[in-house]
Amino acid sequence: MLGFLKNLFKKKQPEKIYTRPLRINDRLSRNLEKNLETFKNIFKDCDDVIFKRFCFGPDGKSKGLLIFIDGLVEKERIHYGILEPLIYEINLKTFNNKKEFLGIDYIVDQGITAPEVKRTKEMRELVEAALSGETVLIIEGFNEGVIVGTRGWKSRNVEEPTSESAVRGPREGFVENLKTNTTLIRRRLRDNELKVKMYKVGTRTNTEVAVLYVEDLANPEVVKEVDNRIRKINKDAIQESGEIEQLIEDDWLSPFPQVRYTERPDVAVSSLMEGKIAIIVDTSPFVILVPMSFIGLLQTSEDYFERWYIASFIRLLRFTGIFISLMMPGLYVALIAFHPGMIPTPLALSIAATREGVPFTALVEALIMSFSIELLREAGLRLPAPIGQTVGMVGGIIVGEAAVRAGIVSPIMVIIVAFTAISSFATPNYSLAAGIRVLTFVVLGAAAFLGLYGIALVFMALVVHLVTLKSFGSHYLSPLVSARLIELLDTFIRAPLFMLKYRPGVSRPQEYKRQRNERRDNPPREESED
Amino acid sequence: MNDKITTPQTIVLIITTLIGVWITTLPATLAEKSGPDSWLMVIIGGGISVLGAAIVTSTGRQFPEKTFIEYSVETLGVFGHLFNLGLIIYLVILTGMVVRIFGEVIKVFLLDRTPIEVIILTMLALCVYLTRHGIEPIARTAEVLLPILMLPVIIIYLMIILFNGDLSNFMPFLRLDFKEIIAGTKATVVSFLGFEVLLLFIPLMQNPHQSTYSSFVAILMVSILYLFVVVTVIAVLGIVETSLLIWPGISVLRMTETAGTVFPRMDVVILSLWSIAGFTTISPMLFASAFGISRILKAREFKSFIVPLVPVAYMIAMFPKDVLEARKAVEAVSNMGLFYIFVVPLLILTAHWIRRRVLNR
Repeated sequence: MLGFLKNLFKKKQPEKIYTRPLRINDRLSRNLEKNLETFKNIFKDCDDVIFKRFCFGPDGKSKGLLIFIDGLVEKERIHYGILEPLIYEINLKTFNNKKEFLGIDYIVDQGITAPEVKRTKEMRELVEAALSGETVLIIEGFNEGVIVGTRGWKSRNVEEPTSESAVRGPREGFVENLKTNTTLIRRRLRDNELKVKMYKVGTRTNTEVAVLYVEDLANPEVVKEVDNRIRKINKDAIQESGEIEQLIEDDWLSPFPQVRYTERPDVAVSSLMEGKIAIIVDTSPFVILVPMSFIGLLQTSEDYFERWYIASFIRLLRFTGIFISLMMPGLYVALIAFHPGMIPTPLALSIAATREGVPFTALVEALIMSFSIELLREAGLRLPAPIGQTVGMVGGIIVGEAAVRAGIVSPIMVIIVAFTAISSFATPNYSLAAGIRVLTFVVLGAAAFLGLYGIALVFMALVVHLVTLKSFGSHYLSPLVSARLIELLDTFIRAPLFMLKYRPGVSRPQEYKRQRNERRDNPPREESED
Repeated sequence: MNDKITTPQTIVLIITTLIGVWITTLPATLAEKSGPDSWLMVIIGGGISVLGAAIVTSTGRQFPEKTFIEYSVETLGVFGHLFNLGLIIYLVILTGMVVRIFGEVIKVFLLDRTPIEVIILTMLALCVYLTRHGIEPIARTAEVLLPILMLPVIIIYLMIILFNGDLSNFMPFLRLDFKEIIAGTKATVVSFLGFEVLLLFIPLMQNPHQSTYSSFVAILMVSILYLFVVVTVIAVLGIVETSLLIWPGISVLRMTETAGTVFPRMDVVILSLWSIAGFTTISPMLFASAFGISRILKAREFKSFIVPLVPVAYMIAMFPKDVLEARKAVEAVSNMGLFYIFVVPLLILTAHWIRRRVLNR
């Protein structure tokens, strides 16, 4: 009803598509001095912009102007790619031939030795290029500019990813430079079907965003949807892929992350090979992968690099961990406050003995402890590493011990909260773990009001929420609903690699079959001994 | 909106709709009415339910695009409107009664100091949250919840019957007279009530012609589960004790000690699952009621009718004074259900046949 009314009263608005940030109406003129004047006006008070005038050609008759930003360019490239050939070599060549006026075609084709060259008459494009680290070349007598690729700045080297470390697997991680990141992926996926589409997002920051997908695997609908959602973003600044994530996700009310982020190129590549789409944002080392399922968030690349017994065991461990971190405090409170008869008698007695003298109810006790452990976690995260560890020690061990001795909390509560925290750390995806941590408090509240029944209610509400949640048109709970049963081989357990013949259905790939590896064992070749 | 359910989803949806409050009470009713031959009653009752499902679905398949609401009017005219009204009233009353019985169990075993109103209202609120999303999410929720529900139930009851079961409780063998068979069978068929939602759900299926098959598979599964539970409870508790208990299906978990040496207090698990069973039974019924009303009023969507149904269902649920009265009310209502499964579809089929063969000639 409400939805109907809303539709009735909502005016139909044309879809807004990303508006260009730079309002530049000036046009290039044929007069170099005038152009210089325009550019100086545009880059007024931008003291990091360098204007370099030079003369070249026969008798130095031709005049040129270079515009670039100090620090964003590699000056050596300008020197060897533009200035030296133009000033020195063209001079020689043309002296030997005839003394004629140099055309811009001639300059671009024969004069400039730098590999990336683009010509344009758009002033706006030239300014954007200069701002992103290219060099703009303008020549007297032409109302056309030349953009020469000279980007190069100091950036972090490729290092081991800190937020997703793996015992076994490549040690390279994404960095803040977009081109390095696409290179890291391209190096692992030498396929011409890997497409890289570039966008500019952020009306002021003009951040470059690359969308990567394997064209004959990724579902074209999803590709189109990603394209739409990225184009719709109209925010002044984009600094991190986390912002893009929040602006393109399906349900902003959900506590569950609907995309996966990764710092590891191998994870990105294996997702691309499942038909997913990677979104790389310049200045962010975190790559977004869509569409993503709940189960996908609980997987790591190492699951596939390890042998299958170990991988399956670890996966089951993780599922248990997520269940414990969600339910444990709630279950404890429900059992203590509502159903003490359901605890086995010896355990109930020992719990009662430890709780003797504790002045609070189980709920308050659980809240105090959960809250303080969240505080500790946050404090440890924000402080410099060595101090953070100290805080963890002081908070966890000393304060915990003292609180128990002082009779504020019972030791069993400390055990439960610590166990919950450890389980939460075992969740591979940080945003998922954070969402679960919030839900832990919801479960706690429900348990305090309605006991086990309250927990069951919250659990079922979560199931309903997850079942209706979608990530870019795919079911978020994918292998568990509306999927082929064969996918269960790669859900709670990780079956031997040769059995995983199909791609997961969450990305709705164009081609499901992934391998035709029928071989079960590799028997040793019997060599006859003569 | 592609709001249709696939055939496997239909099967799962019917299974979860059927498995509900009855699973705890069925052993008591059967033990009281048929004694040691209860197991046979489950089989006969399951067979008769399959027959009923066949009648319901084969009627529905004559009109694959229409619900009962439309084809009853089409074939029976004014009486069709009456039957429609009756069906909605029946569904709402059944929803209310199921919620009540559900709440009673939660109150008795889990929350003895919480007012039952709170339990009923929170459950109804959760059902509203689900049903507002439509039939497909209901079926998907059932898909997720069914394994969570079934696996522990089977494992726990299996452990109980292995450790504590005594099959001599089923002696003497086959000593029933005809009257007892009828009474026992009826009790079982009543506990299968719920699949009459198929009267309304057939046009919501992707393949309406597979509705008979789906209901067969579903009822077969549920029969096996019921048989298993009835046999377990009676084998462990014995006939007399079972018939004296109100909720023998749950009580049996509390009374067994031997199995508890491995996992103490398994009733905790079962009672948590009980909420799931109730939830997956009440939601489709609530949805069916709202959906039926929307079809009667020829409304574009059903969502607006869910919330107004909640106070009605709540009041119906609070109407009986205690559990026994609620169970009597359910038995009375279930006659109406039997009427809608065995009589009305046959009437419609006949009328349809007459209209086609006689009037058109």
